[in-house]
Amino acid sequence: MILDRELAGRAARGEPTAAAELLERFRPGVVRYCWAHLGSLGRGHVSPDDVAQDVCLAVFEALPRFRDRGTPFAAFVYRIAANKVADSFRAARRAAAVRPIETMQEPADDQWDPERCAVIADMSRRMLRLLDDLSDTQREIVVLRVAAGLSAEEVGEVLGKTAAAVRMAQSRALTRLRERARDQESTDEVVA
Amino acid sequence: MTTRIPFDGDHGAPMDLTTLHEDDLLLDQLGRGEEPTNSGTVAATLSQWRATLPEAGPPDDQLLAAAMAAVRRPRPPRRWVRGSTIAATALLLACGAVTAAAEHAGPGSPLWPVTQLLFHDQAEARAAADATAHAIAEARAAIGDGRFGQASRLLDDAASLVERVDDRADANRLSAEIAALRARIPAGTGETDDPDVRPPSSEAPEPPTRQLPTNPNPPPVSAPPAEPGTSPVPSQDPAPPNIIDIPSPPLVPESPILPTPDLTTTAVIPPPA
Repeated sequence: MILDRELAGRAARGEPTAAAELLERFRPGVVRYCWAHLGSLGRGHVSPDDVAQDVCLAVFEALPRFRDRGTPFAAFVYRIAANKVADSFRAARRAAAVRPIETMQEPADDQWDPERCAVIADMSRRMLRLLDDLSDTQREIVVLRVAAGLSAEEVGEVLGKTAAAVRMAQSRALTRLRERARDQESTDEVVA
Repeated sequence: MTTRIPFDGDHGAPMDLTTLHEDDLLLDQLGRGEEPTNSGTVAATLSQWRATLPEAGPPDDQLLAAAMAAVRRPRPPRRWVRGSTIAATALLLACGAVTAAAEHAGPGSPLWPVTQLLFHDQAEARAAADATAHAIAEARAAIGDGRFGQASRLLDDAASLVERVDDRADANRLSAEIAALRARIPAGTGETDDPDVRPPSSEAPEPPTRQLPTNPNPPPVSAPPAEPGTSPVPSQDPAPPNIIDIPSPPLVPESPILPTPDLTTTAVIPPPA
């Protein structure tokens, strides 16, 4: 199997087949990553698919720099993705602050029907409430591991940590989530 | 296996290796989109969340074309390249400005060394013009004081210097000034070396008198007093080191004041008989 780095080098030299294969490899994770972060915002503010496409194009535009720097490819892609997502969050907040709700228009999207988008948004909100108790780093680790599908080593490269530190942080995050789930179950039993 | 590993800096209780391993496997499975073998509410919720996230299909031609266009797009220069370019441009402009200013600098300017370095020929010509002008000014002053000989020599110097002036207009102007000043020097006085020569008159010029320091008590001639019966023989050595120099009385006393004997001499004067 050709390494991501080699594919990236060939794509940067303008080989369409290498670019297509590279895009096919990293785009699904980027799309899920953007949906995991931005899906809860609702489709009126920002489209996670558009952000994912921006990330892909930014990655290709920056491919020559990737060759120069020697960064692991996953770290290269998801640092760009994290910046794009943060920009989109800020843009969505600004838009929500200045635009009345009744004038919001949801962009047309043939791929996702409104019912499915509502399911994703609801699930994302529940997950964000669940992840709300975690630190920013723990939350990002869970998103990168579950949504983007990166290994502990790749997450370490994205966040500038060792794989051991990532494993320690992810276990603490899951422990915290389990405690919270137990508390929630106890509360539900008392209410019932 | 429940080996506990120490706290690594993250907040919380120490974790055991089994939990770390199981959690790592769980997240690997969730990341691949597989059903987790680990049961539990959190695992189920995370799995459900992962399943609701949309899966991107294969990239279409439009996205691929946009990606290829992004790769081929010329990148803006990096920040340090931009900074270096700006600094180099500023340096070039500064050097250019100094060079341009130095081209017209004179000997009194702070940029004169740059002019000498970069515009050597121009600097020489400009120095010659300055020296010519200076000589002409001195010659004019000398003529005003009546020192025609000195003025003539200064004008000669100016005439030789003006040949090294490159600028035609400057050279012509300086030559005209030299000619005008020469015309003011009376004929016949220009070649005189005496700087204090006066305008010609009916009186004969006095011989040059050299002002020397006068000594009120000139040292006596070192001729020993003639001894009776011996004729004075002029000595080739006027003052041998071992001869006591005794002041001799003048042959014809010019004044009643006797020469003061040198107290340092050791001559023994016999008492008067």
